[in-house]
Amino acid sequence: MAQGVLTGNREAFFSTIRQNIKTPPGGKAPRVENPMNGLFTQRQTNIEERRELRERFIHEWTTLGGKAFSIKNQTELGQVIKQIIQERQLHRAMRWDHPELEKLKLEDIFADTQASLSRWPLEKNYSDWIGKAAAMEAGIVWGDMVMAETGTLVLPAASPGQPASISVLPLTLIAIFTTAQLVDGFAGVVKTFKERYGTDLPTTTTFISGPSRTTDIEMVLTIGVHGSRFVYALILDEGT
Amino acid sequence: MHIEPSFRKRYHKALSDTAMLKAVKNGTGRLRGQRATAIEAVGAERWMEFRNRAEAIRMHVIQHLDQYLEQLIDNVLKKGGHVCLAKTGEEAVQYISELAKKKNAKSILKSKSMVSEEIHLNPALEKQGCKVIESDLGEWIIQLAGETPSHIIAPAMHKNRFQVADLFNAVSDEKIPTEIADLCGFARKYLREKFLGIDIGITGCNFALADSGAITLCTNEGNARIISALSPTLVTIMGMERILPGLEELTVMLSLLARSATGQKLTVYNTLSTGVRKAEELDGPQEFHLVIVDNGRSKQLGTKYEKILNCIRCGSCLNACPVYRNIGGHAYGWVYPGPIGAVLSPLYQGMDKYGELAYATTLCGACTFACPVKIPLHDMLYALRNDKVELEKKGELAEDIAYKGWSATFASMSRYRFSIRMARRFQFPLVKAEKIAFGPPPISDWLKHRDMPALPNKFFHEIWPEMNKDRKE
Repeated sequence: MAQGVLTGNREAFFSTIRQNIKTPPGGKAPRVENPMNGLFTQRQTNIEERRELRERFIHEWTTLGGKAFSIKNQTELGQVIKQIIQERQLHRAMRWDHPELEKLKLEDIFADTQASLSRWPLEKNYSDWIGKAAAMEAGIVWGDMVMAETGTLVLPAASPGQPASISVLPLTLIAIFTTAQLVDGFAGVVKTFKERYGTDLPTTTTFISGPSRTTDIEMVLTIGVHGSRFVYALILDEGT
Repeated sequence: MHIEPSFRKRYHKALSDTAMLKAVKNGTGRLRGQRATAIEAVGAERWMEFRNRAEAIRMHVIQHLDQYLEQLIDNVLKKGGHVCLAKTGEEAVQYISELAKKKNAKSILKSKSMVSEEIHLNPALEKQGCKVIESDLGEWIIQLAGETPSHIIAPAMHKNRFQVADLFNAVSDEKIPTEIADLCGFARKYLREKFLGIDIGITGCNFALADSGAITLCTNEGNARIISALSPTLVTIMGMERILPGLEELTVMLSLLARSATGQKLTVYNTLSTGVRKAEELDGPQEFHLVIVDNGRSKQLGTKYEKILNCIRCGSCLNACPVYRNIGGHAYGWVYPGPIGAVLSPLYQGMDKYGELAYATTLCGACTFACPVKIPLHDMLYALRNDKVELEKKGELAEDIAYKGWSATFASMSRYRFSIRMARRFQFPLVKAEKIAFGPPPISDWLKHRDMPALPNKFFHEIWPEMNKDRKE
């Protein structure tokens, strides 16, 4: 990747700052030690505890206006997806290109209901895919990390097949994940990020807590002004 | 106190706008209630620990601002992003305007950015033929109205649904019902088309992370996320103080920001973006420009106002402030309203222009108590009043006489008691139903909007000896 270009006089920009905070250039600031400690819960969880986290997530997610389903097996998954297709009257949907979603044979489930499911990328060029993506009624993503305490999906775009467009353009968002993806909250997410990425974060990471909302007119809550209006979380048992 | 005619005019206008005052009281009341519920859920003690930690993080960053900015710049450049260091607002506007020319941009979509309001970016871009559209619903409403934001997080708080419908009807081919769901539905449909034809996207920056070069955008609507996903060229404008060391510090701030602003546990969409998309990725910007703006901020470093740079723009000081709740945001005259605006405006724009805002406060301390990063706002407002008097080398003659008289009277017990006896005796022509109903200026101004109780027949210090006697007996 090519190095970017700096515009503006770096010395002049920093001169007032350095003069006023009275620190020499080139120093290294010691960080505030353990800034998160004591503020967030930090539990190591086993399968049983993660099932408890699932209940917590479902509570938070539904409070935010989403719908959540606990799913035991592939048959149940098919039934729930068909229910959503019917409920939202879906004809066209797109999904992330993700190995876990690949295993679930979602295309077959959609085909059973006469709906179509396309895998990302829809096309190679922006001018070709943007129209198609905008016409999609639902987007399906893999919930890579999920925070139970806040009812939040964490979606790092870890590969080119997992773009942000899928989770924000369509009116309906469907996130599928297993209980293995559940963590308490930020402590678990930060730990995983540090292990996986260090400081080399993916191009985009999105934290989604429920459907798009606004209270900009008379402070009245209205759902789905720009992003998703209907959000579904499908939580599979580990090993499904 | 010396109040400029322009400020007097603004707040008189606000006080006569009953629809706006009703909307602002309703809006701030709701936000205060939601925030209180969120804090209760966290627990007062843990909330205080959050605030202490956040204050420590912000102070640490501000005291090492040069190092964190250098780290951020290097990381953004390394990842292929361009960085513009703008000492002034004009430099930032010039950079973005030239970029728009270079890209032959016709359609520019923006997500909420207070800095862009501060530097008057939209008029400059429109002057060169760009169509600039605000994508945040509240921002779009006030853009259609030709106004500036009246609240930091709810910029159209002062408008009701009927006023919004009128604004939408002006850009629609069909008549839109005044139901809020219909109005939001129209906004989604109208703006969706614009999102799909972006030439340049412009966003603000809630926080930048020095160690990774990531920019964090927080929106409940998801508009910033659509812009960052669909813009071929993305520009992010950040005030130079909006920086954090890394992800750990960010988690503390995101938790505080959402709870303080709207009472949510987290904002619906928090996006971390490192700028330019990788070669094989299809959405995300091909070109990313980070514009870091000073515009008066560096002058606050090392001064008694340094902590003002800790602000995370949650707006909770506005909702807590009795003055803001009674005059709304536009009376403050510049971009930032409420207690934070009353401090920022004179510091960034000059005491001569906005020094008077230091008097738009009751000094009750509600703003300081509400601030999640513990900025001592009311102390700063008090200090600004002192600075204004010092700067002008004089107070007003009437004010001088009044304060000297007050001081002389209240310094002596006998003079104090004599004065209240006299006041009680001579207030009777002004009293109606146990309230002062009439009076000469400036009391008459006060009475237009507030009640002033008449002096009672007995003050506490007169009742106390009797009460004490009863107690002893």
